[in-house]
Amino acid sequence: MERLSEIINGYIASGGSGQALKDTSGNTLSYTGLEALVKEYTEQISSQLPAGKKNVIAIVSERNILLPVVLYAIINTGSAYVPVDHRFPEERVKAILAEASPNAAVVENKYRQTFEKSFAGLVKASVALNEEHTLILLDQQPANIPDDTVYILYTSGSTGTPKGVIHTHSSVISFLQWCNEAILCTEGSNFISISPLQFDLSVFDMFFALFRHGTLLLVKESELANHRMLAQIIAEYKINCVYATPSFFQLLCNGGKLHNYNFDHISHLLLAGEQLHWALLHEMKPYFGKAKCYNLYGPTETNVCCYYEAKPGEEERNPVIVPIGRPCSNAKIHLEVYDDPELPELWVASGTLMHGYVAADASFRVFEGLRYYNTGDIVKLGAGGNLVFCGRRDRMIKKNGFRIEPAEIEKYIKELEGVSQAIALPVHIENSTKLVIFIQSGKAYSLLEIKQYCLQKLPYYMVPDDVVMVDELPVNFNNKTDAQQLIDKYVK
Amino acid sequence: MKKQELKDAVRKYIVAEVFNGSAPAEFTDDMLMISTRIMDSIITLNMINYFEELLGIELQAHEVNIDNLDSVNLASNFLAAKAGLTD
Repeated sequence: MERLSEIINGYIASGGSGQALKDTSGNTLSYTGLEALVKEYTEQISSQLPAGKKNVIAIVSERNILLPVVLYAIINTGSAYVPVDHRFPEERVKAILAEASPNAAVVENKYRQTFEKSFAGLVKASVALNEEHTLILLDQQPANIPDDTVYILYTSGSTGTPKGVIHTHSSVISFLQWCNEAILCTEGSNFISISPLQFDLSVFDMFFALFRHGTLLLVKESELANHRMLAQIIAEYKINCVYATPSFFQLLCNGGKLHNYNFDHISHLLLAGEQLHWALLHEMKPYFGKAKCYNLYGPTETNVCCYYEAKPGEEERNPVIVPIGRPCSNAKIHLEVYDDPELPELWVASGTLMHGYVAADASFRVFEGLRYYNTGDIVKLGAGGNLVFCGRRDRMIKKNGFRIEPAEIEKYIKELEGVSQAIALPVHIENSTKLVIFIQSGKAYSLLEIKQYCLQKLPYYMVPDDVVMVDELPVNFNNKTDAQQLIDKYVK
Repeated sequence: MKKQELKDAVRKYIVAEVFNGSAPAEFTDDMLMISTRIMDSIITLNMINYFEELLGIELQAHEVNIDNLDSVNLASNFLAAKAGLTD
């Protein structure tokens, strides 16, 4: 079986003097330089890890020019990586690390002290990898995962705890091969890394640039939080391909002062992670008119499995919401009808399908001999045979491209003194989604208290936007919380 | 517009957008809002757009940062200086 490392190394070796990586501080690395550095780090990491067994390596690092180098080296050693966001609260970090149980970590030096504290008693040794990163060896056995695991990404879990999605060499290669045939950026294109490493969009950023012998621009965290700066950077560095969420592009349109720049160099805009509306594409068109625009669809469990090229004139056929299109060449779909034959659930069997979860059971469905993942997404078959996303079968929420399981928020809120019931609901007002927590409690909590509390327990993107204290949560005739009644009252 | 009026307007904007119109008792003009993630990037961006229009100014990309905007006091001082407002 082909290994991702062989493919990566092949592209790196043939890249020659072309620029592979650059950052906004003026640092650059050629493909020749990258090859040498990857080799050096691979040897360094290999020499420290136990031979003949699967290693799991946590990565705690902001984006910098050395991060992809470290990533390629980890893959070269045959290890799996698990990204850990340094912005996550300690409890979340501990939960992820307890489950994945990495036996090593590559930590950016500024987060080393905090990380070592989380691992008190487990740190065996620390070795400087480069000026930015330290390799920390941990005295524990990694979680039981397949030998061909490339990465584990943690997403919000419906049971109240995050789930570790396992992707293997074959699923990652399948995704990248599809990108190679479908996303036809020219050789030497400029790419930008926008998504955090723990978000599956980063898999494209980190690896696909190599397939085009392109240059990957790494931007600082402070620049990523500043959309006006990002617009300037995308223009200044003549980025050709941008892969981000619709929310990202909405913020660029709202505050990027796009009229100040010329973006004719952008050839490909890839949008994924949440519902895409034609209205956003109309807003984008005056600035990005020369770019091909794709709506990519797929949960973390499948990576991209359906895609749609949004072309002018297509809107009339499928109005309001941009379709998620048709299955990728490596994917098969099945539409499972439960209640309404017009609104089936989308099942996906694909080369990009995950192996499973680290701890939770994955509910694959076998149909006509193929293993399908039931996405929980309700779709309808739109014009031209294109699928259109219509909602969820469960309570999962998408906000700014992030996946949020309300049960995780409710679990922590119910731990607060006096709280007897809590329900987190998405409230759609105009073009935005507000995450509102309704609390039944003998003690009143202010929004600030709830925000500050949640920031200590949950990732920043899961913190509620508003809190409503209620005497009693209303119930419907099924004796379940009447969510619609709460939302209607809130909107009024 | 005077500096104090701008400060009141910044406070009012944050209370409306971050706290849905009801300022908590702990809220002060020095409370850090962005670095503590109490105020997200969407509200920050909307706030900038709002005050750019109100004051007839345009912030440069490098000026959109925590040092200039993290609290009511920081934001109102920066915006006032940018717009040339006096006491």
